[in-house]
Amino acid sequence: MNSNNGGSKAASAHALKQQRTLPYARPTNTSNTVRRSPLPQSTGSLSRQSLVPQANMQVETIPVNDLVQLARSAFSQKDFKDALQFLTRALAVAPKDINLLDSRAASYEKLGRLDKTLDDAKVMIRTYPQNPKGYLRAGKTLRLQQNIRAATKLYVAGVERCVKGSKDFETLERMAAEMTTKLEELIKNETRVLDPMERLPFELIMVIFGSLTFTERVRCLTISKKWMTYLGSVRHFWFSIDLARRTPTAVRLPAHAMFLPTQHDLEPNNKVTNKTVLQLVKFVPPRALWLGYAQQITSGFLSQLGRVRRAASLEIFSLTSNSKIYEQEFSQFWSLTPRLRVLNLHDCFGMMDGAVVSVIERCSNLEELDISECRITEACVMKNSSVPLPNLKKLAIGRWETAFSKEGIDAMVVRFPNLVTLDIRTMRPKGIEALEGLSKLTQLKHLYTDSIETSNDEATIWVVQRWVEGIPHLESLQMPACKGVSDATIQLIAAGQGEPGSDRRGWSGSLKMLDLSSSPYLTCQSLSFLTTHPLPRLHTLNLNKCGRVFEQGLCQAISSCGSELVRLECAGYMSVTDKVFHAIKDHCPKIEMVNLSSCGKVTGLGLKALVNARGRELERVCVDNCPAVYLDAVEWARSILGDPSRVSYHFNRMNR
Amino acid sequence: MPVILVSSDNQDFKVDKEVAERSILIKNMLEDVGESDSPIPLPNVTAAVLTKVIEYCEHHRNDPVQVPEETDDPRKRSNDIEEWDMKFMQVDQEMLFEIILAANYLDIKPLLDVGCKTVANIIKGKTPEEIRKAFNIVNDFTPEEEAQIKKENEWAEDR
Repeated sequence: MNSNNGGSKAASAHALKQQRTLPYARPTNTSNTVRRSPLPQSTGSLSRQSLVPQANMQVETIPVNDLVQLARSAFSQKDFKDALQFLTRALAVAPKDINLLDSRAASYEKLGRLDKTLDDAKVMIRTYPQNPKGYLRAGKTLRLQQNIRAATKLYVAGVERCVKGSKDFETLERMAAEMTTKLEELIKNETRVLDPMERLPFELIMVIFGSLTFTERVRCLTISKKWMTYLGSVRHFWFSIDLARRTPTAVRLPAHAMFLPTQHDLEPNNKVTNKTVLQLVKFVPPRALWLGYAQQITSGFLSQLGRVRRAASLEIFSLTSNSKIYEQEFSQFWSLTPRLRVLNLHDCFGMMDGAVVSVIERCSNLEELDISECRITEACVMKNSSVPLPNLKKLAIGRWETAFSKEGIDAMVVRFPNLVTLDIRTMRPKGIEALEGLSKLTQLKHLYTDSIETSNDEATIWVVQRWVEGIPHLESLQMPACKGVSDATIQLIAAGQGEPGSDRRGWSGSLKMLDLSSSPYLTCQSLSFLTTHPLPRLHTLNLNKCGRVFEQGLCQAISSCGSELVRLECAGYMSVTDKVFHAIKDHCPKIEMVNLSSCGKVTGLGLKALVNARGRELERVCVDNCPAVYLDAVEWARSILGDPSRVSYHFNRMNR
Repeated sequence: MPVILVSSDNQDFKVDKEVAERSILIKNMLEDVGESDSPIPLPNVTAAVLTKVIEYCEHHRNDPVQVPEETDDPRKRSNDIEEWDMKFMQVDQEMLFEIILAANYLDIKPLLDVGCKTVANIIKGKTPEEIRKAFNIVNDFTPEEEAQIKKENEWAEDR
């Protein structure tokens, strides 16, 4: 098509030029005389110039032979337009002459009028079906038109029909063979299917697409109908609908170094709409729906999900920071989801007391429940409190609108007796003593509370002591920014009170994670207490910004509890020097993450020592706002660790 | 002792037994036949592909036998192709599919893995249009359907 266009364009340009220089319209010039001179003898005194105007005459006065000669000379001088005229005149006299037809076809071809060429070639074949000339001419034309299929067919037909023995026939035969191979190749190329769905067996398709992320798999649905059908038919691809946008740091942190229990490291997700989800759940009733921070999920979504029968299979449902689904809709939805095991509705406006009561009643399989930052009061656990949820292992229930009472906390403990993980951050108690009830949670392993705000030392000591007595296997304790945390707290954690009938010493046998950051009343004394009563199983220790702690205490804590330590945070100590780096290097053989940001006196030397000792085992070092660490040390460390993001080195003016 | 492999287009390939036995299929066949120097016909593999496969097996002749491991860590999936393997897989897609099919047939698990990962990596991080181009796929959705699909999947575009 393209080449044809180009050809005719060229031809018309050529024709235009020809028109301008038609012999009769042209004054005699040198080129004309040159042209005239090589005319063959037989044309006698006839000049082409004088003959041309006669082209339109009815009766041909010039013998055919002469016309042929004229045409030939014009052709040889590339004056194809003239050649065409002479040949047409000759053909008017002898319409079936194969040589004349062939020559005229050649002239047409040179002028780019391939349709006309083909017409003449057809006449040749029709008139002389056994003469190779017609086939050769037509074949060549078709080839010029890029019609390889037709050309090949024609050559092959020609070989079948024509008489053998001529030179033309040999050419024809050769062309037929040549074009057949060319055609085969072409067919092979055209049908070369590169679609993996077509080329690879289904089990390999599953392997390949199984290694993609959910998002990438969704993108693949839009490739073609075949992809959509194929991928849609792999049921296990769609059991878990994961539309949450996670912050990159969520991926970077190794699981054991993440602070338990709940992570809300999601980004707003404005493009996920009701329709998006409803389209993706159509393949198979989903088991998990991770919608993340999807603000565009609106009222009506849950009932729609129920209407298309995609609720009953749900085991995991996660939607955070949503303000468009109301309490009524939530409450009704839970009766459709009997298999629900994990529910995360962090910061959802509609998850109010009624909806919580409903979920507790309807979903007896619930194992994890996150209703932190929801607009709830303690009434949600106190209502119908005879129905316990014995399966519930993980609960995040911080941020109450009203402060909670001892009755509230006791009701919670009764309803969720087997909790392993409890996150009550930002929960305000009516008096620190109310928290005493938590000591009945004997299965508890992870506790996050930052509510011990009272500076009533004795009450705090009493509560923590009750906890230590009642909860035998606490593994992680996170109590950041608690005014109530004092040296006595650490002594209780590490040594207990000498429980009667037990040689258990506090939580020293179980505690793996301890976060006492920003405890204003913690002093070095308690940290040196650790040298005689260590916490040998600790893998994460956070002592950021404890106002009354100094370098000596930190080094004592590190040396006594460092043997299993993977992550250590002691940021915000202006007086801390490289001694801390050396303590880490000497006493923490498993360390992977170190945060020493805003430590005024640590230098590049300390950093280098640690990096040297641990090499690439070191996952992350943070020396933000450390004015005595210079960039060249950081660069060196980055090159040793092989990844620039492993050494964090930022400054913000406030802290400097 | 060398083993003679015969491709589908009747070319003989003489390779060390150790190399040939990277293919579990051939290993089993050799065990089955016992000591024999008769050539092993591989009717599903052309000479061009077999050359590549043997090149892979030669390079990995001393690798320990792979223990199948399940990794849950999404970071470790799909991207971790060794440098040599990555270069080895820089072939046109026709050949890539042929290698995968041959690895599947010959039961060479590591090669199959690398092949599948390579295909997955072609798909990763590309727009639908780029994926279609990469695999020579015709978009057979009607414009209305496509607009609909595009709207529903807008969220999947920018990540």
